[in-house]
Amino acid sequence: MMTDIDELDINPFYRALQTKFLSAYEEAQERCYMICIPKSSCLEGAAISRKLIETHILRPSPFFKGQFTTLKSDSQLLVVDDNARFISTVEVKTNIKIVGEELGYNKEYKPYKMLIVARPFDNNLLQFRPSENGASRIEEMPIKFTLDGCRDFLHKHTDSKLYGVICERCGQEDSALVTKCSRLRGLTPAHLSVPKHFSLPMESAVQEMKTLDKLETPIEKLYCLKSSIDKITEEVNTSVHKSQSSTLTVDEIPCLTSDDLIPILVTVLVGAGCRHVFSDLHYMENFYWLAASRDGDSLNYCFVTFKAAVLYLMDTDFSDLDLKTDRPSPSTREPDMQGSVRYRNSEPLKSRLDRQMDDISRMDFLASLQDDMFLTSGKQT
Amino acid sequence: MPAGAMSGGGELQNVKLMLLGDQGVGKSSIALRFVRGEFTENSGATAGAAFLTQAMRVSGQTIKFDIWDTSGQLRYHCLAAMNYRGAQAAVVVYDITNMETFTRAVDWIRELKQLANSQNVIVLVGNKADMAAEKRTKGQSFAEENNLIFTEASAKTGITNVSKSRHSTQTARSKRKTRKGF
Repeated sequence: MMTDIDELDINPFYRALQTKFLSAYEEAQERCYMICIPKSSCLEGAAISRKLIETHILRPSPFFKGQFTTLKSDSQLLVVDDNARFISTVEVKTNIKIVGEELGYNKEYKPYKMLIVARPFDNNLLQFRPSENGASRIEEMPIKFTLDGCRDFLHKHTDSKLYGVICERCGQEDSALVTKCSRLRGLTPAHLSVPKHFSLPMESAVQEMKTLDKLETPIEKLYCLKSSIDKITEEVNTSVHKSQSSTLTVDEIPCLTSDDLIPILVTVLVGAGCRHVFSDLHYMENFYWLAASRDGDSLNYCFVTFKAAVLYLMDTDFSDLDLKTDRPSPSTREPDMQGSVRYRNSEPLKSRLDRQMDDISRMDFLASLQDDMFLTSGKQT
Repeated sequence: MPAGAMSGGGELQNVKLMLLGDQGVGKSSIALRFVRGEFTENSGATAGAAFLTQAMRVSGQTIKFDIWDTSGQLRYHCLAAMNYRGAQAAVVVYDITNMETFTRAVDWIRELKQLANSQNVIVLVGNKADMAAEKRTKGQSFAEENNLIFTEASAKTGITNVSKSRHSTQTARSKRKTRKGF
């Protein structure tokens, strides 16, 4: 599974566990308790208190599977759903999305889980440092944090409206993709010349991808892509190790590369039949404001790979494909460098100046969206 | 992830490293050698070779590599800029036994240079050194002419040369101390 090391490296909760609250961390490790770590972006400017820490270290219930109490109190009950997508607080009945999972090992090499969750179980547990409140906080904050605050505020108040406008703009492309996906039902990785040992049904990835339509914010959608890709790599890894590890050395076991991942992702997209793929692409690309500062991380990688899969799906002519057999389509992929030749024959790569011009065009696109939103607001009032 | 594996302290520098080259030249083997090989204890992910992370300590500084295997994405011209954005290093791999892959590697490098800022590190790697009777000449001279780091490697038989190429990248990055991307 691809791990989001970035998140833990910079996470103030995790750092506080390793330093200020080491005894609680060691107790959790020793007893293999589950640690829920609120993601960094919701902890900015907050002081990490003992109460916050102890409320997020979970002890398994001795009575029911999937139920937990906190280190802080036996009466605080939490439930993790069967698919480990959400954790629910029973008292206030809220679902909190699990955005990542890490496995740690204690001194006795026993595993314990760390779940990265979308927000703290109770926002009231966050105490913002006095000097960072109000206007003085804004002056002191680096621009990134100010942007984060604006982003959260905007998402809270404009998400559904904004997304609606984007869907309207990208409606034609969305419909074309839905039509293409429904025609390609039954498409397998083998049809796209993916090697036999990677051609597997990807049901868990399809199920994950299906949730894309329901998610609201760009970051949730990005994590959905990452999770789908993680599930693909898990499926492939498990299958390959099961079938080939007895005959091959570790270095000889085939490994999923980008060239195979993209066509597999195409089949997952077809299986999921998401209704707003192009809108989602625009939404994630233009409204995930941290993207510029985190170009290298796995979320960005997943986004680019997803976009490549969408382009593959839209650009490829599948008319000669026989979905009743597993025979590869001649027009999809040659084992050699058909794609590279196509790439190299296309227009030359853009210079830095051209890319700056592209950025300006993108800003124009955002400005026109803004106009549309105002028009929509006008119609509604 | 072992407990405390990331708690080394000190400044952490992220390096986005692009892995480029034709299909079949051995990019993934090189990347996997790097993360699975002698540095296994710090490996972040080894499920697929499409995206890998590897943290290392170089001259007292922790460097975390985000390794992007991008060949599939780069078939789409419109994604090239997205791929290169923020990258600080690129390893361009060719197969010593197939000079066609060298020609394509040269193309990758020219395109990279067109997009790159001069601070970025490009390493040219001639892979499958164990299979070649005659080595070096072309790759080495091209690298010298274009101010690249050059190495020959064999991900199949050993890691020495591969590590050397990667170590060169690390030290070059440490010295330049820049976060600017392509």
